Amino acid sequence: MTSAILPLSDRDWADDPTDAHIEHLRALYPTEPEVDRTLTRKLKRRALGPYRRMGLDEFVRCVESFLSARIDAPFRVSDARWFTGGVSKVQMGFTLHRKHSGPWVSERMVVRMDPAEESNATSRLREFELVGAVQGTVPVPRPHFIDVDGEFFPEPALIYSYVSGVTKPSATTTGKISGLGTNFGTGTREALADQFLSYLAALHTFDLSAATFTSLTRPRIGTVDAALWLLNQARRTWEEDRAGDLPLMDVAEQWMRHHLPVLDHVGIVHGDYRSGNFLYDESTLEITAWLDWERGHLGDRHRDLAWTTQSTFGHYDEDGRYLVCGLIPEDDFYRRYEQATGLAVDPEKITFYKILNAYQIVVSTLASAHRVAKLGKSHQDVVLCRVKGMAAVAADELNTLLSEVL
Amino acid sequence: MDHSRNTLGALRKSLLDAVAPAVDQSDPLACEQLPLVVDYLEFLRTRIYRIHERSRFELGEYLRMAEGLLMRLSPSATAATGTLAKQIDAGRTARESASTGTNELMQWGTALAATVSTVLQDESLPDDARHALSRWVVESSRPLLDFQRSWYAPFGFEADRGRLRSIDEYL
Repeated sequence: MTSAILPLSDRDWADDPTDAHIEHLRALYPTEPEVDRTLTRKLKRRALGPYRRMGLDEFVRCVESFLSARIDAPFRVSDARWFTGGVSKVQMGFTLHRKHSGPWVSERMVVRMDPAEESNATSRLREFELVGAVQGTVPVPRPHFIDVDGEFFPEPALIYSYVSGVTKPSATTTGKISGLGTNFGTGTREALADQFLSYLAALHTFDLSAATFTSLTRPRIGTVDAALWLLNQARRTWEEDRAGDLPLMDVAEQWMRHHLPVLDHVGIVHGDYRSGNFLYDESTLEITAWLDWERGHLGDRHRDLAWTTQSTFGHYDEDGRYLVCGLIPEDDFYRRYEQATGLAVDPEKITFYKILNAYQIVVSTLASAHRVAKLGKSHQDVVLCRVKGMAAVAADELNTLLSEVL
Repeated sequence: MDHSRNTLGALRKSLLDAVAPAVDQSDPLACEQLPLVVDYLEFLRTRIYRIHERSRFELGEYLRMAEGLLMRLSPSATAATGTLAKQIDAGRTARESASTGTNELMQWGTALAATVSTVLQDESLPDDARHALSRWVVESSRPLLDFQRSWYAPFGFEADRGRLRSIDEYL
């Protein structure tokens, strides 16, 4: 037999999309302007070649060149070293020594730069603005500088203050990949759970009246904007990145388009609120920083609530109860959240966003991870190949959720 | 006789015994990625001679999905119906032939999935037909997804791996 007779859909066009392809997808799946800009940039740069790993000295020269344009005073950079921990960003730590009017001041910093492409195409500008806005509300690193379009770095980058802490107990063997399934152990678990909940409540009840953002669009209360933008973003990415079809995804998309929830309250949505994305002090058990704001947006709290309760982020405890992010049983989680925020948790909206979130994880792990690794676009292609295993879990979760609503 | 499994074991040992001690410990990316590469080689060693069986199994599941879809569609419902019927016949023949190669099995599975997706996206379908098709796709996806979870279980994304069946039970 020969494969020449097969009428295969040619998904390889996505390796080098034409302007017509890009415009078609933009028109088909409208979303927030900054999301559109980010996805369009991704596609327009897709055929430029693979990611090239930079040497430490070369990266430091980028930092120095960038800071020369941002700091109007003597400065120097020292102690440069690579960081790991994130799948999606190239990260380097350094110490910045600055002299203003007084003596030299030193501060530890972290650069976060995009690879040529990642499994979630996101905006550094949004991250910069959001983290700046929530200073004082939740513990976050201070954002200092941003290179929005990769003028000084090969790709968009931002510089934060360094915050110390761990994402999981030093002794644990769990949570090897991005903190997924971390077992904090009893004692630590209870101490972190209260803070985990109170910071989530603070974000969702954040007073947006005085906030000004250039890269975030506020969805209108009483409309389906918030959910529709996210669905369109996910579906557009699925079209842009996948290698083949998964009929379940078409079923999911159609169900979601017919069940878009109406927004009742606009809050700050972290977008990836889970274990592995906060640092804490192992001696005091205080959360020292919330990280990874790249999926952050203004929208529906149920998006965060449904995300945080995804099965891959938690584990079962010693009594066989499932713990959300390894911290708190799911029913307790919702009850205590409502007490802390005064906002209702709508089970139907949770269901919608659980479906959307599972859908989005399948997009990232099955479609985007494949395309990025195929084209050699990131510094972590080997990790992206491995997350195919997560796609099966997320797709199965999506399937289970759909079976309950169809 | 193919010796790829043996070779993969040797590659893994080489990385662990010879390469790992030479990796610069101040390069965290290298230190992080080497164990992942080693781990993937071990995964591949356990799977390499099962990929053909997997491809055949998955094609069989997509055939079942497509046949169920066709049964729920009226003959004149969509332009894709005729394509689907032809692909089912050809895919079944390919699956039953001992001479069908692994790549070809995968291609037939991909083609069937694409056609099923095309049918599902047909906006001219009546709501009740769409609902019936959606329910069938969800139901028929179950064995495929269960299998894939078992296949990738060594990667460690399962909250409770002990609940999964062995891939031997599917293949």
